[in-house]
Amino acid sequence: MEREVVLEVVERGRRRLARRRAWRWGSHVMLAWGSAVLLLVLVRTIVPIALPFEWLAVGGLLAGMLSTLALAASWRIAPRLAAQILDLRFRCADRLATAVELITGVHPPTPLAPALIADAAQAAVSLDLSRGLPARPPRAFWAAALAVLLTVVTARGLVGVSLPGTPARDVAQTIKREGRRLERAGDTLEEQARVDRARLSRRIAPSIRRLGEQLQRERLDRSDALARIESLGRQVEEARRQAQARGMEAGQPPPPSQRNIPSDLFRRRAAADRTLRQMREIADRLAQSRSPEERAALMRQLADLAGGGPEGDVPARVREQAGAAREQMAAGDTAGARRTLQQSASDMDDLRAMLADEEGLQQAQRDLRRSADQIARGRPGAPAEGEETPRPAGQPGSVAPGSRPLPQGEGPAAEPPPGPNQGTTAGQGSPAEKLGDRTPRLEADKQQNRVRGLQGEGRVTTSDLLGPGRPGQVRAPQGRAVAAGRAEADRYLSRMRIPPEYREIVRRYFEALAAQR
Amino acid sequence: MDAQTFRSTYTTLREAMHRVIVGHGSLIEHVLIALFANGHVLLEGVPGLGKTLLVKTLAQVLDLRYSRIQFTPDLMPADIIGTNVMFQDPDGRRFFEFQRGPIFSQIVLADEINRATPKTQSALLEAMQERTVSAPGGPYILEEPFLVLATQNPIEMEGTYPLPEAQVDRFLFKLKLESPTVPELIEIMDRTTGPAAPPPGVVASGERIREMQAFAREVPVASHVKAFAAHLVRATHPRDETASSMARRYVRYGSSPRGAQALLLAGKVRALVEGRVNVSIEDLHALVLAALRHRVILNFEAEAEGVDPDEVIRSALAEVPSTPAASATWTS
Repeated sequence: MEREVVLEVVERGRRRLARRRAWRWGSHVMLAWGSAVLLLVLVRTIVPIALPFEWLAVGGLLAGMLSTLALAASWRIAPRLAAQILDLRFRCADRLATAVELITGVHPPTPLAPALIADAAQAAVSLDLSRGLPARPPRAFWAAALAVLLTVVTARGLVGVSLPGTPARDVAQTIKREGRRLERAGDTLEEQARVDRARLSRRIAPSIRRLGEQLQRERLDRSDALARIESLGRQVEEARRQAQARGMEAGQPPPPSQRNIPSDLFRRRAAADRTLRQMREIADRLAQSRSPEERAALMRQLADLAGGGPEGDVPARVREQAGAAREQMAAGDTAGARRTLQQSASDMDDLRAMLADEEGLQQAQRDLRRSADQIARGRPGAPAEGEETPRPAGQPGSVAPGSRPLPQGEGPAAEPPPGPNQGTTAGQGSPAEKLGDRTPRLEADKQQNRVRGLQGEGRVTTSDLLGPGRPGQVRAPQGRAVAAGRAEADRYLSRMRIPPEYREIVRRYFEALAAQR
Repeated sequence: MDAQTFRSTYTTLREAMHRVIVGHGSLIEHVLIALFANGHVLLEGVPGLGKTLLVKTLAQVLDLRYSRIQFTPDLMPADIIGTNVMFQDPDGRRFFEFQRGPIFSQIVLADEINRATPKTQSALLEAMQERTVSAPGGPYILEEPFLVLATQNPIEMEGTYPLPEAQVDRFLFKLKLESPTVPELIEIMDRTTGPAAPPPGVVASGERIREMQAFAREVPVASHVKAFAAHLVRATHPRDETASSMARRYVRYGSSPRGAQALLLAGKVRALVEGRVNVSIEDLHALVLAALRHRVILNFEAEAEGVDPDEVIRSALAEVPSTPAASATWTS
């Protein structure tokens, strides 16, 4: 009976020891993890680090607890050694360990064995394992939990906080600056959309302005800022797709590429403007033309429009209406032809608004992308990786001259590129920002030729040319002038009556004059 | 004999001695432990601390034969073990008969043992270890219990012969006597300057002591306690890989295996004295200085720096782990 008591207490002690050891190990690992994440949170005020700190800390804590449970279930200790630890912890003077050895046969039998086992059983019964080996987590666990809590609180509290002069501060400043830029871009887009009657752009513009205000006002870290920009970018992309679909419904062909096509967009819009101007001009002239020559000229212009225009970029519906107007005009129905042209001009105007919508949305996309790139890089004013700034048509790219095929629409008829005080943001922004990056250097080999030799090497010849002086400034060799001045001074010194004690002073005076000359 | 009887006898014995001896609680305890462990004791202390009184009192309370040998430079081995003396019978025939010396007692006080020559000191070797005396007509077996308590003066070293290591190793304990405290001194004065107190009565017989000695050897010792004792002894060896830091520097020779034996045997007695029937590491802690201090031979550097063997042993005690390494304990 006493043997069972001893072994049962030792077994309970074994389990508690395994749990406590697992808790201790797990807690220290959790504490180290929590402290490391907390340190990273603090380091974030110096170096921009985009990590989900809260999830890392909480996830580490949960993983540590699961590992602790697994370790507690898997760790084993021999009963004899467990008894030693219990003896030590409960000050049993090695009673339990000796008794376990006697019970398990490690120790040879002795007449005192029954007395010893009874003594050990009495000691074992009096042990309060729950008090001496409590199942509660050790202090390190609470320290780890505190570290995780601190991490969560600090990670939320220090969002956007940065120390001066650190890369994190650069990122924060970049976010605010890009916020200002986006706010201006939103304003500009809204204004331009109002002028161009671009409905989708007008709907998106306040969102861009609000995002810019948020980037300036709120303390955001890089990942938050990028996430918001990306979210708005998706909205803009959706709107742009709608605009593009509407354009296609209206007979406008889709742009060849979805990205970085400012020149094409400018060209299509310029063509629409040109066609619209031409149609309105024809309509106006229809009301005023009386002579057969003028009517014939208008018929030719209508034929051109019906044929697609000189560039072939007149929409199909406009071509049809131009053809109908031409037929009406040929039939003598000038008023009908004029109404048809006015209707066509109205359609063209709608198409132009759609193009403006698309252009504005693409500009918004570029602004957002550029801001995202700048924030991702975290350096003020640095061009983003792979960024292609909107370059006016006709401006050479990074390819060598002559090797780049001339795109359609370029040439003398193409619209000039918008300058610093032109385009959709006239009078705003710096010229460097509006003109984009510097033109890349030509990839040509440069050879430097240097004439090698030693200075003063070879024969040197000098010659004096004597002759009448030329009018103007007189030039004479310096050596000769100094010698002449000195001789003149000597002559005066010998001829004039100069006190002997001042003669040397006067000589130095003239010599100083000669040296200055 | 059972543990309870052992303890009660011990307690009675100790109290009887305390009725005569003032103070020296630890000393009396160690002497009694050595007695029940069947070992000998080397007492080191200045004169006048009650060494002789302690031994005499022990002999009185145990009803054992007691003899005192005052060691002097001219003491001869025959003066200790005895010699053949010529006798003449009534018929006028002469014959030699072995006349037993003072060693043939059960409690022997070897007073100032370091004043005798090594030759005379060595006469005690066989008696202490083998408990026999080789002499013409012998060997003669000494009667149990047999306890030698030797004293030496640590101050007056001139004209002395320090005990050789082999001799010192025969002692179970080396005990140091401390000067009495003021209350103890007052108590000593009261007892010795007043009317003579009655001598203490007999508490236990020699037969009872022999039973207790045999009983103490039955006490079980856990394996880790034995391992601790072994590691402790090895830690006093300067060239051992487990040697303590002080042992490496200050020890010439570490403790012999007799040190471990003494430690464990005395530990068994102490466990019984403490009311246990198993040896604990605490027992070893309590006895290690007395059991090992005379077995650790210091080198010249230690003597030059005044290092005490007790410091070396404490260092070993602090550096030897009393529990197994955690890494070797757990498996998964």
